[in-house]
Amino acid sequence: MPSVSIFVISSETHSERRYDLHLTIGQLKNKLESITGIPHDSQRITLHDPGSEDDTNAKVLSTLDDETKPLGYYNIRDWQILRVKDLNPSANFAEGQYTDVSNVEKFEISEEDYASRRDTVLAYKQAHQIGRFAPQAPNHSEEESIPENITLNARCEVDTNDSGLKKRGTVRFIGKTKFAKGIWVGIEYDEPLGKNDGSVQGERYFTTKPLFGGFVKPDRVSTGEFPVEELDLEEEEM
Amino acid sequence: MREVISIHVGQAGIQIGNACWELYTIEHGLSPDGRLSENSPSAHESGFSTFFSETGSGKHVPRSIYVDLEPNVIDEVRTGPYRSLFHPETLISGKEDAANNYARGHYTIGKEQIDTVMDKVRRLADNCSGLQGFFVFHSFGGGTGSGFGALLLERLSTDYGKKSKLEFSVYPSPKMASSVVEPYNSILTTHTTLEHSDCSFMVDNEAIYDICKRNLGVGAPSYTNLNRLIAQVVSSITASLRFDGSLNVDLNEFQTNLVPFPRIHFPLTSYSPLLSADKAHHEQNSVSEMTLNAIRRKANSVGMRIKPVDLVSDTSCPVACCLLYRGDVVPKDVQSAVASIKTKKSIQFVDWCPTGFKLGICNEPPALVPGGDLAQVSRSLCMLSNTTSISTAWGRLDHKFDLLYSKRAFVHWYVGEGMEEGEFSEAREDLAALEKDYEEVGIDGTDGEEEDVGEY
Repeated sequence: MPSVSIFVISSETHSERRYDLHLTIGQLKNKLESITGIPHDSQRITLHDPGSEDDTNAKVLSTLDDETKPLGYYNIRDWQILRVKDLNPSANFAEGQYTDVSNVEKFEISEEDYASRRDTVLAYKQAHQIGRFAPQAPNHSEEESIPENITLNARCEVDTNDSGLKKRGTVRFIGKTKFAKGIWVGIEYDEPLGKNDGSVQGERYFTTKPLFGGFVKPDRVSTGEFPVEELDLEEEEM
Repeated sequence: MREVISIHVGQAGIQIGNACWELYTIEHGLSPDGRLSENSPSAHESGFSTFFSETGSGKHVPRSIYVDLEPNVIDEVRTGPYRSLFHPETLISGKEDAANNYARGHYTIGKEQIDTVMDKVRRLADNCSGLQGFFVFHSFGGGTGSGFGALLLERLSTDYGKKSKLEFSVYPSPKMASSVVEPYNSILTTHTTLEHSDCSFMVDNEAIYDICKRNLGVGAPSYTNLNRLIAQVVSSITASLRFDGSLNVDLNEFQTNLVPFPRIHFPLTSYSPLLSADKAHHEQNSVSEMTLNAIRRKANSVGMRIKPVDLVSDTSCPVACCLLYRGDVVPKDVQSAVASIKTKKSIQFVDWCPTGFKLGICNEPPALVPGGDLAQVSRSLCMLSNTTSISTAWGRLDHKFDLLYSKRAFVHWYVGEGMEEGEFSEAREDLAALEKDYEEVGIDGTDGEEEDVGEY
């Protein structure tokens, strides 16, 4: 059965379709109604050259208006464009009626209804006691002490959350801070792998070039002989 | 043998199938009628028998099924260059189309076809020694893709409960719909398949259209151009299942690594490099560059993501991520590329998800399709990332659904096919819960305990 691949474009839709050339224009209009939402009797179908998708004034090659004629009668070729216009837009729909969501309030499920569903992530997390439903870790209420081995200006290596990756630098600060509880160690990294320049939330604790500074908890710092590493990865700004 | 059956549903599913099987035959050195050429890389391997079955006469037949409710698209396959590749019985077409109507695909017209299809699936499954699972290719917006696709997944779930069911889903374009009822179809099919599908890889035609135009210089991209790009992504995902000696060889592994919670199973895909032949010579395309490009938030000349275009926001929170490398790639380079990304980007995974980056390496480089738009390259990367940012896409689709449904527009088309109107509100509520699910996942990603903050 001979068929043709064409683009169907209306004000609200754009798609590629494959039709049998024996299809009558009447049958085609039925199919286009379910695509474009434009009722059969209000459709005006025009044929255009390939590549004129974005041009609403593209030259009309022919108008497919004889409902008894087959698609093949109009000499349609692959990748041409069928543009479907609504002849009676006021009775059917104004442009944007099915796409402009600004006038309709979006439905949201209520907290109660969500909580009462059994298959949700919330229910899963509660059942498995994970995330914010995890049993609380015991609080370290006792005062943290400054680890003896961490001293100012000592070379050090910092554990990151990723195993296998360690960042090297020099200790520049040890003690309490204003941004979080407990003891923090300020590091000047060898590379711009930090978060700041030695100041956090407007409070300066030491000074580095931007992104060379960072603060971590003491348990992630090991001091010792950690010379500056040669890295061959190119540093590229994202 | 760990066989995989691919089922292609509706126009989108079938046309993506054409591009995929074309690419597979090229990658494995098969002729268009399924015979191994002499210098085929797969001549001495058995890996690709997961996707092809070999007949007594040495012909390799795809373990696939094409199904459409109307004949035109499949007729094109029956007369096309790959007509003798497929077993004729696996090309199933009906006479009456689904008219972009989920209810026709799922109920009236679909019901007449489903038993034939399940019968053919059974025959393919019986021909496998250790069936791993199914890939179902379909669109969310079309009547057959949404309605029949959902019906098929329901039946697969009943008949093959333990097997993996992965989908490749063409997600509706944010800007230009393929039909006015696309939001209905998308929400109805997502609701129905949510509990039956293990993982659904999302493909956005509009994003790929842009890539074809801007990156690859295709003037007026047709679905053929789009689908060839999609096929490269699909091929990257399936490469480890088809080639011997690859890391990451189990369908279950995608699921284990990407899907922390059954409903959060819609990873986005991105691919790098996206280069036309004339640009390829000027690009170094190193492993670290490729990795950066794939993960990069904004589009650029080489690494644009194949995904709903405007999804990635600053609040996005990756749940899990798979990096699938192909070609001339050594693990050491991958490790350092990933390490450098982790230091550069504040990628924060939700704390209760076990995995960070899952890596896969397949040594077979991506293949060049004659007449295709992509350049021949020695290596490529496909990234699958399950991120909370996709809930923006659901939100937008949900809102469009609300717009239509508030006017009860076109609802009579569905009710006329025997669908209960209550299914609309039931589906919509389920999707609202899905949006909340993503919020719930994100909560643990952003408000970490103080202990987790780690660094200031």
